[in-house]
Amino acid sequence: MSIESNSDDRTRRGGTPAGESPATPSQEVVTCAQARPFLSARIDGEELSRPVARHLSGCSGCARELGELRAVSELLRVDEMPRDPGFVVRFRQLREARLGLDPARFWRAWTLRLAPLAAGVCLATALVLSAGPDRDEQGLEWGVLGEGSEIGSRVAEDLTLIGGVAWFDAEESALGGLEP
Amino acid sequence: MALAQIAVREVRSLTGRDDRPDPTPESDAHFVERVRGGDESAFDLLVDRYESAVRRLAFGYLRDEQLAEDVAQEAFLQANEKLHTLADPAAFRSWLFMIAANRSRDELRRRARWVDTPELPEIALYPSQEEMPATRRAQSKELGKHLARLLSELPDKYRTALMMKELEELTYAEIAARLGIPMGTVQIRVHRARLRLRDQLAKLGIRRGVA
Ligand SMILES: [Zn+2]
Repeated sequence: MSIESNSDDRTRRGGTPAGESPATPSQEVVTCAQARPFLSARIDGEELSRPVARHLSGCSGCARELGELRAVSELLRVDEMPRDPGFVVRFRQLREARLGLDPARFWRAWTLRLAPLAAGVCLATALVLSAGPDRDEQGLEWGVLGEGSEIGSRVAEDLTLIGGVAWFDAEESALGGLEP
Repeated sequence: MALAQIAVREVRSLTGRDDRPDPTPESDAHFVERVRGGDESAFDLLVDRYESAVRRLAFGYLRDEQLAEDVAQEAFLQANEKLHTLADPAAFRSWLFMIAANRSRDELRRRARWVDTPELPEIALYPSQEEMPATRRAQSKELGKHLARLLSELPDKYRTALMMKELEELTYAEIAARLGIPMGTVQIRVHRARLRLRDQLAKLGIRRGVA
């Protein structure tokens, strides 16, 4: 028996299209072999042609097979799982461990984190420059990180480029590697 | 004060976060956009939203809670990493489930090569229809291992359709749309997968309603 083409045959095999008044049953008899490929559709609540539906409700042989397949379906289903608040915590740890080691990602993350600071500093610097006289005193406040830093001149250079003033998370930088 | 406001505006124009039409604050798309705008913590909210569903999906394949946890973690990591490839942020959920299903399937294949399935006691593990829900909850680990093995032996296309039905509870039309195949094909695959599992379970002596 080929059931590859059965879906197209659903109406051809004797179904009246839904909406038409039911014809006499004798015109629409479906055999077990024709009806059984639709057992799963029945289990899954999919729409069936009337003759198939009628056969399946009245045939004890098909009903037995329906029960077996329904049992398989029930066996596979899984109940809702309770939420686990620890999951996201473990996820964060895993991500840190895994992605903290990805240099490209490290730089992207830090550039984004430092962007607000950079914007602020640029603005402030512009204001300070335009303000004039107090320039030297203000300049001290926007001290440039890098001198004496153990992180290395490459990092200092990059940070200087994007704003200059920065605090640094040593743990994350150690994980991140220094090459962009 | 004014300076801070200007700075904030500057930053927003830098990240481009305000350019798009704003999805509702709680929607998946909203969180996806936030992550794309650089707010990594927004992804954690998506993890929190879907961890239970993703673990359940993975458990459906693997029948082992620890494995399901591991696969779910990996699936979220992958989604986090590849988020920029997601064309439609509103489709995050089905995209995430697809990743989880693929990871589960890979793990299932890997495990099937070496995991030993235990002998089953000679009792009927199929309860009658009325007893089914309680029995399902109490499903034994042994039966779970057998199920995982049988699932691993199903042809990919049958298993994929069946699991979308049983675990994601999609309609045939939804499965057809997701896989890009006709609905009639979905029906055939789901049905054949169940027939095959029934026969394999019967070979193991697992029959419905036989005491
Ligand atoms: Zn019949």
